[in-house]
Amino acid sequence: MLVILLQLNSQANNADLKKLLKSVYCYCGCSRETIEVCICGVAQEIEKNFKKKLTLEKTVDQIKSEYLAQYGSQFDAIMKAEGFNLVAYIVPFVLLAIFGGISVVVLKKQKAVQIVTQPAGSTNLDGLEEEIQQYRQQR
Amino acid sequence: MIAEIGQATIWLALFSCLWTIIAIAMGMRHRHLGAIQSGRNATTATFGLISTATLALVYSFITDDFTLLYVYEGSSLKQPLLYKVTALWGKMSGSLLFWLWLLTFFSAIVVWQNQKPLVSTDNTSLADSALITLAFVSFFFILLVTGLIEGVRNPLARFPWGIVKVDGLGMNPLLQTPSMAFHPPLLYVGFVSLTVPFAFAMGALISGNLSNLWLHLSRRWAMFSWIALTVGVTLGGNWAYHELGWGGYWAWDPVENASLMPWLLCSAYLHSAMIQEKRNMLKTWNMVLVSLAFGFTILGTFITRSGVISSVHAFAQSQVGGFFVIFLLALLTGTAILILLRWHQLRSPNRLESLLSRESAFVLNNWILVALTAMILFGTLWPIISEAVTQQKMAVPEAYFNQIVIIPGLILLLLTGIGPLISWKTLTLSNFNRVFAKPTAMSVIAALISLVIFYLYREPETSVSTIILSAICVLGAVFVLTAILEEFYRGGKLRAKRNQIGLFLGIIHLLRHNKRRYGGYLVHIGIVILYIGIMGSKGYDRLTTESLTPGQAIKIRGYELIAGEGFQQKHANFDLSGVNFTVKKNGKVFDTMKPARAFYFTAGQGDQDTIESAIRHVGHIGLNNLYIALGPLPSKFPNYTQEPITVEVYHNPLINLVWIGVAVMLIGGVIAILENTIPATNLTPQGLSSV
Repeated sequence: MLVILLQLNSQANNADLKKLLKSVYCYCGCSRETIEVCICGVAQEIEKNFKKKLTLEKTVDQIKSEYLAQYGSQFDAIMKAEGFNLVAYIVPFVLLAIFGGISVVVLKKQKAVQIVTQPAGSTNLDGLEEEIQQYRQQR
Repeated sequence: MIAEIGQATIWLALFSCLWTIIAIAMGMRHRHLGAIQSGRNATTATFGLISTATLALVYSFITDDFTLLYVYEGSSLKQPLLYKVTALWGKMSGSLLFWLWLLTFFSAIVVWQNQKPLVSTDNTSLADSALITLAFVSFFFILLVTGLIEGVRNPLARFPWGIVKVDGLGMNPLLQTPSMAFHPPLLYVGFVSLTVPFAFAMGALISGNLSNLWLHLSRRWAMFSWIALTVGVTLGGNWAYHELGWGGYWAWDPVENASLMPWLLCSAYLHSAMIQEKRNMLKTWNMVLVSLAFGFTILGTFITRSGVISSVHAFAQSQVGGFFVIFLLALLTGTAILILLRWHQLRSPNRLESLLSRESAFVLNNWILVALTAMILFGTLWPIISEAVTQQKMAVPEAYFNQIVIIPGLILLLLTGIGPLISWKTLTLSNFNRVFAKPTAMSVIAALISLVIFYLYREPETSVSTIILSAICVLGAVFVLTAILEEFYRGGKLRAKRNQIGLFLGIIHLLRHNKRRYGGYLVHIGIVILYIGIMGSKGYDRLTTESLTPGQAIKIRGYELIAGEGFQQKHANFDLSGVNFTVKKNGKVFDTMKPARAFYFTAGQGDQDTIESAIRHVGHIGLNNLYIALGPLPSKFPNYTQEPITVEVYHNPLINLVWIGVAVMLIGGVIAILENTIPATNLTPQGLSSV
C-alpha cells in the first residue's frame, strides 16, 4: 500500500514537474527557451530546485510565483487569456475582421466603378507607347 | 590610414547624396538636363564612396586591425577568414554600413538600367524621380553610420588615445556557422531591394507618370526581393535549428517576426500588382502596399536595433530608436501626402465584373497576408503595450502566435489553390464545375482518410485539436496540389499535342513560354510542401530528456540511442567535445551520431561554448529527423562515468519538407523572374490583357 502511494505521489510529482518546466523560461539568456527545452547548466539547476520544492509539498503555482518574483515576470512562458492579456487574444481577430471588411468594401466599390473609355489616339496612350518603345530600343 | 580614408568617404557620401536630391529635383523643376545628369552621376559616386568605406572596414578585419573598436569587438586573431569577412555585419554599425552599401549599389544599378541620352526634359524618366527617393533613404543611413546619432558608432572609429589591442574579443560563436554567414546578407538584400519598387512608386507619384510603367520597371526588383527574403528567412530558421539546440526552427521571436512581416507584404504586393498589370485596378492600393512593404523593412530594423521589445527603457536611453521613428514618420507622411495629391489620377478606369474572379481571389489573398502582418506586429509589440499599462515586463510565448495564425494560415492555404483556378474577370458555372470538382472531391476524401488515420494511430500526447487541424491542413494541401498539378497536366498535354512531343517535354515547354504563371504555380506547390512540413514538425514533434552515463540508453519512437565514449577534437579557434551515440532501430544498429559542444577561446571574456547538435535524417524517405543535444559537460570529461550528462533527443516528423518546400518555392520564383518584359499592350490605361 505504501509502495503504491509512493508511486502515485512520484507520478503526480513528475506531472507537476513537467508542467513547471514548460511554464517558465530559463533566465540564462538562451533565446526564450523554457526550462524543459533549455539544455544549459542553469536550467538543470533550476530543475533540481523545482524537484526539491515539489518534495516539500509546495504547489506548482507557488513555485512558479516564487521563480517569477525572483527573476522577473518576463520569464513567464504562459500567457493566459485573462486580465489585460485578454486584449492580446481578441485584437488580432478584430484586425482580421477589419481587414476582411475593408476587402469586401474594396470589392464592392470596384464592382460599382463606371468604365471610363478613352478616345482612340489619346495623348496618354501615345506617350506611354512611345516611352515603352524608347526603353525597348535602349535595352 | 585606411580607416581614416573610409571615414572621409562616408562624409563625402553624405554630400554626394544630398547633391543627388538637389540636382535632380532642381533639374526637373527648371528643365536643366545638366543638373539631372549630374544627379545621376552623384548616385554612382555615392556608391563608389560607400564601397571604399566598406572595403576599408573589411580590410581592417582581414588585417586584424584591432585599433578599430568595431574590429576589436567582432573579430580575433584565430577567427577563420570567412568569419572575419562576415563580421562586417556582425554588429549594429557594420550591419548598417552593409545595408547602406547594398542600397547605393542598387541605386547605381537603377541608374545603369535606365540610362538614356538626355535630349530634353520631356523624356526624363520616372527613374530619375525614383533616384530622389533612393537618395533620401541613403541619406538617412549615411547619417547613422557617420556616428552623429547617439547609440550608433561609426564602424571605422578607432579606440581613443591611440589605444592598441593585441587581440580582439572574437565574433559571437553562435554566428560562426555557414548558415549565419549567408543569412544576414541575403536578408539585407531582400530588405534593401524592396526600396527600389517603393522608390519607383514614389517616382510615379512625384513625376505624375501614373501609368503602369512604374510597376513594369520595378517588377523584377520586387520578385528579386521576395526571393532573397525567402532564402534569408529560411536560413535564419535553419541556423536556429542547427545551432540553438532546442530542436525547433521558428519561435516567433521579435527578430524573426521582423524578417517575416516584409516577406508577407511583399507576397501580397506581387499578387495585387498582377491585378493592376492585367486589369488596371487597385492602383492606389498598390502604392500603399509597396510603401508598407518598404516601411516594414525599416520598422523591422528599428525593432531589432533599438532594443525596444526587450526593454522600453533600453529604447529610451539611446537616440537611435527616436531617429528611426522620425524617419518612419517622415516616410509615412510623405507617402500619404503624395498619394492624396494624386488621388483622382489613381482611380481605376476598370470595374470588377464578378466577385467570382481571380481579381477577387487576389484581393482576399491580400486581406489575409496584410491581416497576418498586422496580427504578428501586434503580438510582437504586445510586451511594450502591456508594460506601459501594467508596469510589468512580459514575453509573448510561441504558443500565442501559433494560436492566432492558424485560422488565417489555413484560409491562405485554400486561397493558394483557389486563386490559380479562377479565371480573370469572371468564373462561369461550367468553368466552376470543370476546375473545382476534382480538387474538392479529392481533398475531402483525403481529409477524411487522414482524420481516421491520425486518430487511430495517435499518441497519448497528441490532442484532438491537433488531429483536426492536421486533417484541415491535408484538405487544403490536397486541394491545392490537385488544382495546380491539373493545370500543369492540361497545359502540358496541350503543348505536347501541338508540338508532337511527350508530356514531360510539353510541361517544360509550358514553363519556358509562360515562366511567370507556371513559376508562380511552382511557388504555390512549394508553399503546400512547407505547410505539410510545419504540420508534421510542429504538431507531432517529441522530446525525451535523460541523464546518461556511458552504456545507458534513451528511447524515442522506436529508436534507441546508446551513449558511448566521449571524444575531444581541437580546431583553429575552438575545441569540440562530444559523445558517440549508437542508434538502434528495432534492435538493429542503424547509425552513429556525435552530438557535441564547441568551446571557443576569446580574449578577455573566457570560454564561450555552443551546442553542436547531431541531426540524422530518418524515416522511410528521410523526411524525419532525429536530433540530439548535449547538456553541459562534467569537469572530468571525456570521462563522464561518475557525472551523467543531460541529453535531449527530439524526433521531428516531416521537418525536411520545410526545407524542401522552400527550395521548390525558390525554383518557382527564379523561373518566374526570368520572364521577359510584359507586352506593351498590357500597359495601356485600359489595361487590356493579352496574356
